Amino acid sequence: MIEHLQTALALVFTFETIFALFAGVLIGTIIGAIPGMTVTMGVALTLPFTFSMHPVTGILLLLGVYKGGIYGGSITAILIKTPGTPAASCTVLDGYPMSQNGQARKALDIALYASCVADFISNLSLILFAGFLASFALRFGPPEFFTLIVFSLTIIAGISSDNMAKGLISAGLGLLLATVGLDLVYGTNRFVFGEVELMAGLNFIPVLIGLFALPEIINHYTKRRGSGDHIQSLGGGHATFAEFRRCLKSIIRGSAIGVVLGAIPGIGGAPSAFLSYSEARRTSPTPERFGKGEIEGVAASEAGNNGVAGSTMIPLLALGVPGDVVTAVILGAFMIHGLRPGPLLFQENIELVYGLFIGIMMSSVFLFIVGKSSIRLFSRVSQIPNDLLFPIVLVLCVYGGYAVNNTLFDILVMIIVGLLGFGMLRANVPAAPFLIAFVLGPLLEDNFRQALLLSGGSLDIFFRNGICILFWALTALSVFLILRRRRIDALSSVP
Amino acid sequence: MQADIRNDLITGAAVVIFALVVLLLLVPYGVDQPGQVDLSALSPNFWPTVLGYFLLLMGGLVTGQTLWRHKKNTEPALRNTAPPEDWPGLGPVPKTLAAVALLFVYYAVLNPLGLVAASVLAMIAFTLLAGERRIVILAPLAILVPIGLYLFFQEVAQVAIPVGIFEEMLG
Repeated sequence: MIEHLQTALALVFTFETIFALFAGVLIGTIIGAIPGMTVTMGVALTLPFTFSMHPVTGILLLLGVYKGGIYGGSITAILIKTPGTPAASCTVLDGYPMSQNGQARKALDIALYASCVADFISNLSLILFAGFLASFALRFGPPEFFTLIVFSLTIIAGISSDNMAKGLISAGLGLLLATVGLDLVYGTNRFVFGEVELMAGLNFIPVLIGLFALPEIINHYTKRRGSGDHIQSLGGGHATFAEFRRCLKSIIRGSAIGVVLGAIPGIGGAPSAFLSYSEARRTSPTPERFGKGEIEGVAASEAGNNGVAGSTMIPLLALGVPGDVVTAVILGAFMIHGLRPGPLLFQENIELVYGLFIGIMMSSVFLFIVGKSSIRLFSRVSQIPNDLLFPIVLVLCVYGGYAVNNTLFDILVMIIVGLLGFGMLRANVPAAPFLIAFVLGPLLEDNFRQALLLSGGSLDIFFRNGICILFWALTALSVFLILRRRRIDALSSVP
Repeated sequence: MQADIRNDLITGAAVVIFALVVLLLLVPYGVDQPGQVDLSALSPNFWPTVLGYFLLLMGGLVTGQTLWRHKKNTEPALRNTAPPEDWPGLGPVPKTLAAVALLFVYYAVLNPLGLVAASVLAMIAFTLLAGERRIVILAPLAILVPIGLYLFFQEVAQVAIPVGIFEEMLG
């Protein structure tokens, strides 16, 4: 173990890796602070820059963008009432009133402190639980993985949309697109139509960029110019240690909520932030101050929001199943570097896992340094006009799309998927289930067919032990809960 | 509400049509079948066929749900009384169509012009289309961003970027 740890330290403590992690946090915070840019878009656009890097360096750069982006979303939530990420929408509730009361600096400070503490706790949970879960998952064979992926797809498709059928349509389209290329068992062509470049299947990065960046760019041209968000000045004093201590209970509780919810595939930061916020208000001696600029409200929502950042990596690293759309992108990054997250990663590349753990812990410190030193800069970044920003992003997309395989064909794929993504955006069909299904699709089909080959065609193999039955039961439970929630929502909306 | 219903109806119908295209055209003509398949579930067309039926079902479900909602929704459609929005230059639909057309033009000129020159022109075109007219900001950005990205990918990431018309200068 000591030997592996030494190798991991040597991997992380290089100028290139430290710089990449720091740059990732900085870039992520900037992206998160720009209204209209999403964390997923940021991670997707950064991915092509990691091709030439060592896997640890590249993945830590992406993780830095992810963590910085989650925090950066709170800056615009506080200053211009426009959350940079969906998860930061809860921060608006008390952050913006604090800005209006001339306490913007205090709100940004406490958001940063809560984010860093929650991020640190979440990272610890990743280190403590991922290895344990991975050792359990070593017992998994094709049928167990098949049922696990079915469970993951159900929960993700169900949660990511107000309309479950639309979420499932999105997942279905992603699964279908993943079948393009050579058949895994027989080696025959599927949907290739004589195009040699399609034989290896559609590349992940053009699909990713097409789905998450291009639709936003095209959608920009459907909007009226110059919405002109009014930015609050960075007035008021800093948050004091006494104020931080008063919020600490809510921060730790919010972090714990984030850790638990983040480890469940498909939940994400927004429900965690709202649950943390409502718990802080419920237990507060002054609940009437929440929503009017209560500093504890900002701390609780940011803790809940950032508490998921490390724990969403637990199912990814231990089982190879992404917990949300950003970790689906990071799964793609692993694959690009020839690595496969899951239990075998802990056996075959333990130095890499340790390296990631060390880097992830460092990211909390970098988040604090970046946030503390650059709040004034980020508050200005949010004013960059989208008329200039989106053409720059477009050029970045084209370079990134090309760099994967050095082929212009990938840019065509990116444009076509971008148009599909734009159609989905306009039709309120969520893109997240599409991407997750596209990433998991080959695994789902491969494990399904391998299981059938093992059993000689008998479907009994999918119920062969307690693990399979547990995942089927969880799938049934998640479908039941989603349907029940939709029923309750429908009944409560009837006047 | 009415716009949502129309939107959902179009979505549901489009998915149904796409699923039918998958089942009736793409799977039969786009999936090569091996000579002998022992189990139908292992056949290369099994998974795409299942997904085709799944999409057909979901498209039908969205259409059905929307029609049901439309039947229950008795409120009259509101007339749009909002004042016309101030659109500088092109309106939203022509502007969006122009942006989509420009994407394909950008792709078409990538090979002859190279990534750098095509990106400079694309940045100018997309920024002007968005409504930005400040040449002092637009021009330097349009030149520096593609060149900066070229330098990163070519020199740092060692990715050979096609330079087209700049072949003699940069090649």
